[in-house]
Amino acid sequence: MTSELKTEHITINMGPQHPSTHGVIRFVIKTDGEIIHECDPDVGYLHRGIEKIAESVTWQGFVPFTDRVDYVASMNANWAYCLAVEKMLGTEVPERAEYIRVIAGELNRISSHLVAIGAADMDMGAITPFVQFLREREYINDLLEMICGARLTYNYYSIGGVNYDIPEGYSKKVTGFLDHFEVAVEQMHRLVTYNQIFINRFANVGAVSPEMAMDYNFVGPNLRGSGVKYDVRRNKPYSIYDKLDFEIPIGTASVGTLGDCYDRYFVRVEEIRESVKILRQCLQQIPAGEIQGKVKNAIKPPVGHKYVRTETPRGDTGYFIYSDGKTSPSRLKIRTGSFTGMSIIPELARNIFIADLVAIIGSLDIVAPELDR
Amino acid sequence: MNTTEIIDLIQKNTQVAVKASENCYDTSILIEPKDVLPVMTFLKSSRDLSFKVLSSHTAVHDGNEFKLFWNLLSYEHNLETTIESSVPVSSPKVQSVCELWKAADWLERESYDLFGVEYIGHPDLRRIMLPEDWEGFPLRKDYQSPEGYQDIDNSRSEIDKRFKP
Repeated sequence: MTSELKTEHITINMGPQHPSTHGVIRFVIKTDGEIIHECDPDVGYLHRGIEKIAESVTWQGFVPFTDRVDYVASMNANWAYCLAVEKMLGTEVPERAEYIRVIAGELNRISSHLVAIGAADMDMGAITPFVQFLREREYINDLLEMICGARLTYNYYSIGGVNYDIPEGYSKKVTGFLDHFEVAVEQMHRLVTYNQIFINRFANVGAVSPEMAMDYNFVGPNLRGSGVKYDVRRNKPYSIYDKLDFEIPIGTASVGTLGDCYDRYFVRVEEIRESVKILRQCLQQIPAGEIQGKVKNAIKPPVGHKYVRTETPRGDTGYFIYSDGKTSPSRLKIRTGSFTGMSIIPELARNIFIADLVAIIGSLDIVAPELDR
Repeated sequence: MNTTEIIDLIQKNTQVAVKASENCYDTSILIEPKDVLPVMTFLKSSRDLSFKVLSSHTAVHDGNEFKLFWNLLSYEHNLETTIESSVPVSSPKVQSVCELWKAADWLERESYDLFGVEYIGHPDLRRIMLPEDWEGFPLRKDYQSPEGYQDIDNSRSEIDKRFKP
């Protein structure tokens, strides 16, 4: 009677419409009830063939599509593409346009990180902070609406500059928001980030060593969470980032192991503070002048290929563009942070609780459309 | 360190013929498909280079061949380089670099899915974006979009075919 009890693993399905998978992603999990033994992410539900579309639209015409690559941070997605094409054409972007780009980009970075950390809180069962973070994000959406009219998919950057100048009195509006935001966000961190229950869920879970992070090509806050101090804005500066003063926060294992979920989460918290610093500097220094550089109507970059990387909220986004000298790209590959971040799941989700898988996905800040493109 | 110096290092340390492939933007390192593994192993393990990150990998369909590109990064030395190779469309086979970088796993699966490039030595080469039973490779230039998938009709109507914008 004693040794006759038979146990076996069962295969269960998580997603594609699971609230904690941050979009349409499916996981096939082999489990004995509570412990995951094998986890296979099934991606591609949101594959829209954006890279194929690029081959049939003009160079300028592709900018609105980049919004849909990463809709949580579409300013930065626009920027990554425009920067790549500008580097191919050798376009000079006017200084005022660069400052406006940094202002819009950093505002968008804050709003994207607010969604990331808010959603991570919500995955852990804390609904209130998510609502409060989203309230702050609404204010940022208002500010971005003032400069381009849209609240989610902005289509604001153009090749060579930006589409509209910022309205009068904008600096005062943004400064007013930042004054309010700095206090408000600290209150929210008291509520959740330094909360012992939350720390217990995130610390020591899903630790990624620096070597493993580089091996899996982690980028952005995920990479820095593992203690690798690398930021494209600092190590390979573009735009005006070399003139600005800001820190690169990295994971320090403050409550658990290096590179655990809490480190990744906390790097985002710190980055929000750095973005506020960058914004204040830009608002003080912004010069008057043109907002659009000289670009021909029919863009035809010469034959060749280029790989350009930009630091977006979800890390270093790489645009590999192969031009054959025609009015649309011959091949355009978008290498995003979510794609490489997701590929670590089979290794990380082994012998852990199902509830911890939710914590890991939340801390990796995966956006499904960016993953599938 | 520029591309010419990297090429010198490769030639000094591996018995492989490499040359520079220049275009108006960048210089990349052109290698034969059979030399992919030795060159990549050296680039990753060399102490002067230590390209520990495979940032991106993709294919480009250009006429009768697939051009393959590997974009490597070295955070330690703040270096960046591109390795280029090409395989014929009739037999697109190349060595997998999965054993060097874990990131190659999904990048190669994506390239297999959308171009049909076969990676020898890949542990789990199957489609990633498209369904398992999808026919054809969408990012090839000669790809025709299907009339339908399973019982979903995607064919164009007669009115649609006559319409000239």
